[in-house]
Amino acid sequence: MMDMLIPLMVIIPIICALMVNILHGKDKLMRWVSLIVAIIFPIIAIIASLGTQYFGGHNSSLISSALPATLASVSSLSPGIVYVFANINRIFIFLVGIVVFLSLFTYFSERKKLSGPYLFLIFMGVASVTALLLSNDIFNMYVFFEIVALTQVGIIIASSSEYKYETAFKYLILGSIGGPMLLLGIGFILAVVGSVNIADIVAVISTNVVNPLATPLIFAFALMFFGWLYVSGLPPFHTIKSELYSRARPNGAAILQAFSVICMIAFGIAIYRIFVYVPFFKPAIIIFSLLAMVLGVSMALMQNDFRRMIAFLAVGELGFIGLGFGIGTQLSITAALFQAANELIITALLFIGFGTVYYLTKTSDTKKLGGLITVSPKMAIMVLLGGFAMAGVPPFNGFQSKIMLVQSALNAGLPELAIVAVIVSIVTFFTFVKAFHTVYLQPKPANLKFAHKKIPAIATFSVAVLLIICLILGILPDLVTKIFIPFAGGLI
Amino acid sequence: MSFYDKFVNSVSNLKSKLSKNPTTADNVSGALAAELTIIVCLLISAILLRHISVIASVIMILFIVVLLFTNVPIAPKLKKEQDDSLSKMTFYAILALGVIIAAIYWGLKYV
Repeated sequence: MMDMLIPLMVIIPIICALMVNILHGKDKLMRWVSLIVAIIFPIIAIIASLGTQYFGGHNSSLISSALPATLASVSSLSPGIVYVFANINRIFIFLVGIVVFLSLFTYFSERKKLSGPYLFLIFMGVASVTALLLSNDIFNMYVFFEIVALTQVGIIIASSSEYKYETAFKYLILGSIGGPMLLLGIGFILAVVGSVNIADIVAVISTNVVNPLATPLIFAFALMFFGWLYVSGLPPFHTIKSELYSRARPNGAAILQAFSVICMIAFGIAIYRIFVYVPFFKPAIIIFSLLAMVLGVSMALMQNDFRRMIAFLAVGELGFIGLGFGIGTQLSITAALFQAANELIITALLFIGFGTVYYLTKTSDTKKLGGLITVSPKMAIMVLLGGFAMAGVPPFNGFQSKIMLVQSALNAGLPELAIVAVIVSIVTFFTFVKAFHTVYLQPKPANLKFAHKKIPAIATFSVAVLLIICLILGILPDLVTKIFIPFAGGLI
Repeated sequence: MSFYDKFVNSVSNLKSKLSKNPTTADNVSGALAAELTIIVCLLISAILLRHISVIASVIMILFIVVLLFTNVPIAPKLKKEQDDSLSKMTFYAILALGVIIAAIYWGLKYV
């Protein structure tokens, strides 16, 4: 049965995006409209019933009986856009909603004058990642991803960073390599299978209607895999992604990384469903995930800019998600999805939490910082706990997903991956403690100047909420894993 | 010259090209930790090749050992290669595309 709330999860942010752009200059009104939508959005994700929404197409089960027997097979094909809303979508859309709400809340508290175009970009991005997650059609997924990529560029340009135009330009140039390759891969699939609907492609390939190892399909896999690396920010795109996060406003960076995680998961699941039979599928994912983990954490260790450090750590954490897909067992995919949900929350916490340091001092250079624990001990402790969550320290959520991943690697007979995962977690912990010591604990430099004297209470509230979510998911992982486990079972 | 001195010099050389700030213990400890992480992870990842061929795994480990002996410290060099230069980012993106296409397309013939 159709549920009209499913398309509303896409339509409401789009309408809001248009409204805030028109309302630019009327700050109070923009603030209210944005907050109302940011509150409604995750609520809709919670109350919407599961189901399928046919956009401009047809419900195959309704018309199959009306068609002659010779056309029965045609009725199962889906010519229009199909939105599939499952429990896994509910979790990710809800978490994105929470991150966006808290980031916007922090943005409003830090700035008196709001930017309509900036809010427009954020809400368009939200609508696009939601549609990307719901869509069962790889071409539509590509289109929605391109909108997300453009909003990411816009969010950077709307920041006050010195190198914002340069970063945005570089992201566009690299996007002009990664995006077309993804589209070309989709084109190859369309040429061979005749459909871009994922369920149809899987049905055609699995029933050997086309040769699964046909050259165009293998080529399509190679191109789409490269596109997935670009979408996710895995190597070789990790440097531009980390630069992107570090140049954005800290609350904007929290939203940008949430977008990247959702894009990674959505395309990761689609590629897994279509190409898991390809012999090099899992090794290819493992290689690039390991590269992301090692390069992310080692580059983070050598940063003097704490925003860049968190950005590299975020990229390294993406490697854990990829590793789960690469191992390819029910437990590992569950761990990957759980890790994705955790990373959404933890990285947002760190960007917003450490962002308050930038708000106070207008610098993110750790050499110029120190002694900030005296300004806000509460925030310092919460940021420290957030870092523990990222490193996988119990009882936080990061511990649960990482221990699942290590367990799955051991069960799959790949202890090397388990050892690397543990080493990277330990180094993440070290990186974080080093940065925390530099920013909060070492003596305050004499020439350190403050742009603001206090941290906004709303920023503290936002970080506290995210930390509570980390703790809840750490103590009660079943809240989400009971949904991820059957989904992962269906995927393999 | 000890390994640590060699390391400090390497980090200082790189830093002097990137910024005017002095090299601190913080920079060196970070780079040293990164170096050890890379070495350990490289060697452990090479052992993964045993699932395909034990001989390939041994050859790869020996190759990495030689590479490490002749190229340490790797971390500062890696950082230099992963700066914000558009030309380097583009080069590695195209290199990765080439490797992926070649490995998946031609590699499949040997499966």
